[in-house]
Amino acid sequence: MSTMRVKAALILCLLLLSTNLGAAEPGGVGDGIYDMQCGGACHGDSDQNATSSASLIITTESTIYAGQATTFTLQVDQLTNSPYVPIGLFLLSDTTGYRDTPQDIGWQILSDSNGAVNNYIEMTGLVDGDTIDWVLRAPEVGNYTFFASIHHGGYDVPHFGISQAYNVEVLQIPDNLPRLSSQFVPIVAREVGEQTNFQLTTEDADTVVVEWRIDGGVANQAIVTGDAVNGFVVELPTANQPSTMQWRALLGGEGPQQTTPWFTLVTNEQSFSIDATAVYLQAISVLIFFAGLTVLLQTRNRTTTQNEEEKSYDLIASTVSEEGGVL
Amino acid sequence: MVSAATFHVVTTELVVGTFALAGLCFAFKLLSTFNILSNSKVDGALDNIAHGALLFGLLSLPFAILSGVNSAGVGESGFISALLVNKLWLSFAGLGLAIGVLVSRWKVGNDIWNETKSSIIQSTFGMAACGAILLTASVGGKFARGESLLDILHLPYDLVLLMPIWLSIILLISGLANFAIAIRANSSQ
Repeated sequence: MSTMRVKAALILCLLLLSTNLGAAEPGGVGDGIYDMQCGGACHGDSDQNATSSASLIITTESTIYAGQATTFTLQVDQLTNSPYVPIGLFLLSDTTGYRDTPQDIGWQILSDSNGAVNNYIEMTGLVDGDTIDWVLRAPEVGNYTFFASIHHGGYDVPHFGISQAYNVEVLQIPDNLPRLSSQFVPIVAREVGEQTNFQLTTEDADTVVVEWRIDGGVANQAIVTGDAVNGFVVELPTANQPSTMQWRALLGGEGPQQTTPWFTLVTNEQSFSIDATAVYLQAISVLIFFAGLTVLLQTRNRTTTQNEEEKSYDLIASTVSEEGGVL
Repeated sequence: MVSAATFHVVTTELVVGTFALAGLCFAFKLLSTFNILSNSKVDGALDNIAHGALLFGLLSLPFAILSGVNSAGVGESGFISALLVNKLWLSFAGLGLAIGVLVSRWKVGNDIWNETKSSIIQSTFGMAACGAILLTASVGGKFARGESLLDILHLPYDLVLLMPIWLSIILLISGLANFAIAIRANSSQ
């Protein structure tokens, strides 16, 4: 018996020793607003990370004005481990791993490449030279630093990489500059077949032209109605299949003409909807039914067995009494 | 304050672990019924472990369900995915089966293993409870991470198995009737 225990203990030790130390989430964790390293949630202990071969280059427009939207483009190269999907990409304000999202230094994410407003996005099918965009609204005048980071798998080890620091200077808005209102928040997602009309709130803009394109293709002009006094209303074409559209506004006025960043608008399949009452009722019904069925089957089985035993007892008793014996 | 998502992870680990252990013991009991791997020394222990683990899992299960419903934001945005619907009813099915198995063991006692038919019913329903919970956990993995261990089976997770309300009501009445008959049969003995 003690030999068996020793053998069992040895097998358990062997099993424990054979476990992999890597603690990544191979399927990703989904897009979100995360600090660097996701607080250890995605890639476990950061000490176990291997260095990613990827090179990350951030670029922005040359002039960024306070309160105005600007595009942060991240170009990813040297993805020798790219077969491992998905690849997670961060836009960060520092590398401390705590309160280091762009929001933490006052920037507002208006759209990301996946049709949401996250600083961490997961991409599949990314190849060398591909770029992804975040559109951010700048805070007050000042100098800011950004970093990009990459997380991905490969050879059973979680990989991590970080870009060089990228410095951005936010300038004061010149007088009469035609621009989007600082309260304007673009729509980032819609459903297939949904008509898209929205109010484009502007300041110092007399004319507005809106262009849209699909997946970086040729730009087309959208329908814009209204005027500077009553506001401009933009109508974007309806999508009949899941796709990614980008649009931008060309604003004209007394000041120099301004072009907004390309805002990303993702069209998703129609969202799932179901009657919650029916779901809860079915769940409770299934619970009661299975519980009742199990108890009934066992109780009936027991009753049948007891009846058979009683019948056998009666039969034996009558046989014995007929033969004049004593039971 | 621990978030609902974190609490859900903890409770599901408890539920899956205990139900998996119970399911394994029920499987051994089923084999033992047919005199396969039968061992009189461990049969009693298997019975105790199976029902003990099932009871512990049963106590954790409501917390797992409630925290799951909370962390998925069902209260605010409803059921946003077919996976959530399947998760909910599968976990309730597992809960019902586990309650039935434990109540049966409590009412019938150790005699439940003395007869082939009741032994088969008990171990089969115990394993079914375990299967329902493991399937729920697998759907959870699919929902949270986009993949699960049972992907090799190519199960139709996206297909919603939702009965019409009238059918659910019939099922509910039928379940309650089953209980009533069982209680009546039990009290007449």
